[in-house]
Amino acid sequence: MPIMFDIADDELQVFMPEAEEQLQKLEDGLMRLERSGADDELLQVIFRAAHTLKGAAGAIGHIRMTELTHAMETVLDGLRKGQYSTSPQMMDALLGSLDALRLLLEEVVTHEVSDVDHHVLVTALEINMENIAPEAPEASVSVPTAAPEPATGNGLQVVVDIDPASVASAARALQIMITLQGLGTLASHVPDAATIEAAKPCARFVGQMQTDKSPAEIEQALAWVSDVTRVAVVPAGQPLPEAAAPVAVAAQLPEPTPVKVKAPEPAGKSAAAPKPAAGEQTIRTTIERVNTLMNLTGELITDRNRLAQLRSSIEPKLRGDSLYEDLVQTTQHLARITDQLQEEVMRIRMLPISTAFNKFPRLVRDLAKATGKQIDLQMRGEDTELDRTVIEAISDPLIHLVRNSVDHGLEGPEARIAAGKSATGTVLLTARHEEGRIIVTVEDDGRGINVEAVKASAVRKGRLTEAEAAALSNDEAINLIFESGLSTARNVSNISGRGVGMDIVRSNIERLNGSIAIDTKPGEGTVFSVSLPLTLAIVPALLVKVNDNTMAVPLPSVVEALRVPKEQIKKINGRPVMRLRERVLPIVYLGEVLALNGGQRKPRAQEYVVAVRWGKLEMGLAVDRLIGEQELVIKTISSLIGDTPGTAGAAILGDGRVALIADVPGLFRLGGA
Amino acid sequence: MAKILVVDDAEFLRVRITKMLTGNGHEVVEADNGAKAVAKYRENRPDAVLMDVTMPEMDGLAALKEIRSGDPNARVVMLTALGQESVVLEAIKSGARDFVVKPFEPDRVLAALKRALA
Ligand SMILES: [Mg+2]
Repeated sequence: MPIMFDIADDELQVFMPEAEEQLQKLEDGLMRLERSGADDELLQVIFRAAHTLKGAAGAIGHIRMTELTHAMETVLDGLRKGQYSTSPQMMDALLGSLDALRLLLEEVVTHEVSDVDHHVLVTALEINMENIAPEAPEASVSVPTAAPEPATGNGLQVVVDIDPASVASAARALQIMITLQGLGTLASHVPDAATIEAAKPCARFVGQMQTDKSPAEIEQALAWVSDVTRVAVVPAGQPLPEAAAPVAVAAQLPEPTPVKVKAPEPAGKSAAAPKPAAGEQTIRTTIERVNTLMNLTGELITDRNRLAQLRSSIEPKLRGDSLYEDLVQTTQHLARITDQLQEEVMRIRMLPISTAFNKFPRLVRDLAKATGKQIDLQMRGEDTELDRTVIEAISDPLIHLVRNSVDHGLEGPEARIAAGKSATGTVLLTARHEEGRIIVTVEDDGRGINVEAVKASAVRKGRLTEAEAAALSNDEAINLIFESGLSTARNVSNISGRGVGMDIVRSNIERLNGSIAIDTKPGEGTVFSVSLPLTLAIVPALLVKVNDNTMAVPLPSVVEALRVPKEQIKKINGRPVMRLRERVLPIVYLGEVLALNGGQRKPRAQEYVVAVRWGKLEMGLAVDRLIGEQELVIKTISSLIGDTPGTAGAAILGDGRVALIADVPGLFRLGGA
Repeated sequence: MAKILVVDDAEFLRVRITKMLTGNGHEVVEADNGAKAVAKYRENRPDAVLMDVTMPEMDGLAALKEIRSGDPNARVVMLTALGQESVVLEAIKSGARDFVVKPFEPDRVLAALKRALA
């Protein structure tokens, strides 16, 4: 049966990001608490996060989540007040509860009851407080049955009953006491001030007072106090009535007149967006709306490109015409504005990479526990911004790389000490912008990749002959770890085993027009560097003509485009190559390798070669003609994944025609380079 | 109709309370911590304040005292949670008109506001 909560769809858009943000704060805080110990400010932050989650859960009627957050908050409150200190069991209970909270929170969206036994977790949390003397108020409720002492003169006896369900009845008693003090002289009362201050539950307040107010006036005044069920005011000395007079339901006030004015309050933030700088005004909007804006901008870019092409095709006819000059100016201006618009829209979709990095402290902590390794996780450049689609897409590959570093890179404490290193290994995550791309690195100071072991594994698995393995350069051998089914780890641990293989990591990164490179030093460690575009929505590409087809080679892969006299292309071992400065560049004829229609290629005096790069490898793509650079608009990531080997989908060009996008990594595999 | 300052660090709760108040014809000003609440109070002179307790920067109790020292007639209703009895007592002593315990029924907040505004 689906579970429903008291929350409207439009509220959900505020609720979920905020709850997730609080969960993240809680996780970050607990990680820091476990690592660096308690400090007052940290405990306040953690406590507030649990408290805010409790408030949110309560507001939508999520009872299990409320109870669990309440138990967490109670443990944290004791920590905050110094009643006890942390213990490993306490941290496990808190982190286990945090995991459960994520599942409970999902229920709000899925409406499916999760498999969380919150009672077990609440008990695990409460055990931590067992040795602490309970500060909780006594269970007994003070109900004075008789007046403490008779009042004299024109005194009045006031009896007020408080709703037994009131969660803060002592505070109600205090409100009653203060109200009566304002109406005359309150001679004595039960409970007395000290009892009230001790926050003891109170079901009835009885006071003796001297006043010139009438009983009705006093009843009227006390009616303003919430949770008051009955008030009786009798002259001193008279017996109490059996039942005090019921209090009129909240005194009648004139109904507020409806009015549409609402202060234009720029509080709040766009969903899951980074906190705006102080003083910046923000509005809230939906991801869908921003995506629509992005798509429209994409259409505009396509039209702009088309306009530029139309302009250049009418140029021979109209050059010198003043109307034509106007057209040139206008199209150029339009191009500039479109660029700026695109940049601004892109910026709206940017998020700091911390939104991907922030799950790593917890992951590494759990991995360290599971492997018995000591790990110090460091992160740099968390503020580096990139498109949210890229963040979503790289999150899983990054998780795998970190798992890989912990599992295969870092040694255990004994092995590290034996190798003359500190017992604690380091995993460093960094992010930075470089030439319009983002570079994310995962670095460890572990044992490094054993090149000979990788080669031996490839030979053992029949991928390479001994001779082929021996002929491999160091880089080529290291890149073998990206081949499917090759792993040098003797036993696949349950850590790496749970994830995908490095081959999948690489192909996922490459699908995003990214690349991954390895730098490793035996005994010193390994660095994986992932280079990605800042967005997946727009791919700058070099357009080329192959047979009758227009192909787009993503610019990030392009090293340079060259015109090469035919005689400079030689054959080594039957394969065409050319010399590019110091290097030998294998050549692949794009039309042949892709089996594009258009027939046999004619011999020509010179070839156009696009030198492309994949990791540390390079090769030359021989094409018929170079057309020029253009920005291709990609609407969905899936359109980057083509069915034809060597192509990565298609894009619509400015002139309305379709261009195939070259899949450079796929071409390296096809070309056997 | 009254002008109400809604103070809570949880945006979701502000959205929900604001919706309820504007739906009942009130005008709303929001603040997400105690320090901003004090500033907004001075700026807007609202008829009443709904004040959360646990907030970053400045908590609700400190903001209540600050607001009441600037305006001894300020009508402040505290939004408290289970387990905050001692805070509530302190708030009442510091001049809070009333308090509503979270999670609250909308009627309770409206009733407490009515009483505070009377
Ligand atoms: Mg709060």
